[in-house]
Amino acid sequence: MDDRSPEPNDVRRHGDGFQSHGPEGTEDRDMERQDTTAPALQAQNSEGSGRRTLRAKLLKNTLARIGMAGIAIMVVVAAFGPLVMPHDPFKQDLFNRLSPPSAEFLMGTDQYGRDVLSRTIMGTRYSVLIGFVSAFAAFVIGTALGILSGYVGGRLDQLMNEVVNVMMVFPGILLGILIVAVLGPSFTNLVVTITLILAPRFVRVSRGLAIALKERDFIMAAHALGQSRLRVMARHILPNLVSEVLVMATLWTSTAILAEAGLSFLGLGIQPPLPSWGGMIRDGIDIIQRAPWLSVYPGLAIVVTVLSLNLVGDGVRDAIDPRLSN
Amino acid sequence: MPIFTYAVRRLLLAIPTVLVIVTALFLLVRIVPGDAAVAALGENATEESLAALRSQYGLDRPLAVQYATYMGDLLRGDLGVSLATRRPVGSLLAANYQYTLDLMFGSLFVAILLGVPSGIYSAVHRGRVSDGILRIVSLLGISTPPFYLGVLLLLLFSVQLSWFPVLGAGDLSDPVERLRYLVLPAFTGGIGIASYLTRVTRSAMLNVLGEDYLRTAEAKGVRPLLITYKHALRNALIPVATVTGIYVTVLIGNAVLIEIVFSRPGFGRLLVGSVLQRDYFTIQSVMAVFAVIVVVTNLVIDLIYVLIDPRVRYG
Repeated sequence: MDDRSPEPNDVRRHGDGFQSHGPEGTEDRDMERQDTTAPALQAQNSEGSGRRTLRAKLLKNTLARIGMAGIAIMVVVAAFGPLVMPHDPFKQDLFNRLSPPSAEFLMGTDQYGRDVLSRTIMGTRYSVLIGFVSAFAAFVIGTALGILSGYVGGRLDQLMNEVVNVMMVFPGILLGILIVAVLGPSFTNLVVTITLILAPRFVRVSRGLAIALKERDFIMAAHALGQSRLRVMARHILPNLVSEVLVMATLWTSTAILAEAGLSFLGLGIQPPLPSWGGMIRDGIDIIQRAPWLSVYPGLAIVVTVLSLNLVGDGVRDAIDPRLSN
Repeated sequence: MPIFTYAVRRLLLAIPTVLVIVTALFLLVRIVPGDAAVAALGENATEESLAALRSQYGLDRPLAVQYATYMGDLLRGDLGVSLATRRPVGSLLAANYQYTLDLMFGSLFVAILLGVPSGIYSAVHRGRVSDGILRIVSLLGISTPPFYLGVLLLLLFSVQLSWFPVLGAGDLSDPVERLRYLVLPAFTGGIGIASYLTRVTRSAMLNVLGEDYLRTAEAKGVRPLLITYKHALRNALIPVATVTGIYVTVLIGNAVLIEIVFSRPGFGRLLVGSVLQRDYFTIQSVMAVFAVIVVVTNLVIDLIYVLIDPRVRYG
């Protein structure tokens, strides 16, 4: 069942090329500026089952395949890396402080003689976990609220819209700093913070999609058949917008990982002695002239992860809207 | 509707947003676990010293009274007194704003200077090797967090090559020194945004290059160079300008991270420092100032957008 007819999306005409990757939700603000109720990525292909062709197109795209491989590697490292890492990431070794990369310590050691490679591997677990968990939480909460807001409308919608607008005034990192300042830095609070940074974007996208769907005949039909509003939202609205929202989720997972790295870099995220990529870069800055490896390697891990997610995000976008794949 | 009326209306619409944010900041600071006084003096502070601090900052008064005082002070431009340094927040901001402003304008300059020409080049040479390289470089640019890019630039240009000073911001009154200290931070902030601009400019150019009126121009014998740089570029720049405006707010966020990397004074360092010291009154005021900057920036962008794109009618 594919209820999406190819919408004429010339509304977004010159908004097209930059729908992806706004690091701080810029794409949404841009959409707003175009003043369109037409949702992002509306242009689902009309012929046949979109999902299968989407997968085929994605697999044909070399860059997207590289991205998927990169994500897979990072997930494997996060899951199993700590089981096979060469040293204990917490063990201090005063005889080997600040050793440069060598056969024993491939990425060198830090001020306390801890192995940078092992800490980077351990950091992968936290970064990837936090990135995916908070992006998923934001997806679930934001989409639910967005559908509710767009479908029910009225006062609730106005209020929700106001809250989302106010939250999105601040760039993500500033919002994050503010929330951590209030909640205090901890592992759980970090997940809550990043969820709160991302959730408004999901609300905005799914709200727009829900508003567009609400007027469709098949929704009217469901009402006429006497289905409850909750049922209509869960059984008819949700399935028809979920794939579009998931595409944005790919891109925003990289935003989540960048937010975690940024906050940990500022000392407001994962607290030592737990290793995090951002925190490791921060620890290395003061002695960067003596021991550049402290900051360089954890940063590479961030770049590889975010780049992989962006490659997949690009691929998905191109597959969904072929007009964009120049 | 004339542009002036539109501007006034948008300005009036922005006021409630700022009010809501300022109120939210006020409430957030009051719901901090413990309270702002405990946060400032630590868990072991005596009851007397806490009480003294609370009465000094008015924290012992009813919420409504605190709110009225706070709003009244804000309207008069009084941003309160820092809990950590006991200095007026206004003077802290005054001592720091020039550094952050330098960084933001520097980054924006680098972003436009690198981003727009690369995007045009990429679009004109679409499908060639140089286009491919530019696309990969810009993808790398958007995937590298600014604080890490700062570390890499610092390592290469300051530590290895010694072209630029390593840390700090130098003396503002000496323009050469000021610039020397600004170059690396500005590139750090600018490169990421240049990468977005490259992508946006490229696709905007490609969109425009396919338009009928360009084929008409070609058919009537306009020189190709003129088509690219006059007919196409002018229209392609409309979305580019919008996006550039949007990224100004991103610049503010990045400035926070970059100031930490380069140990540059500025709003960001002030904010992060006050978060780490749990100086809630400074946090509240700095965030309020940030909010005003962002809202005003958005307003200006909207106005520019209306001015440059005749198709947009004051929506």
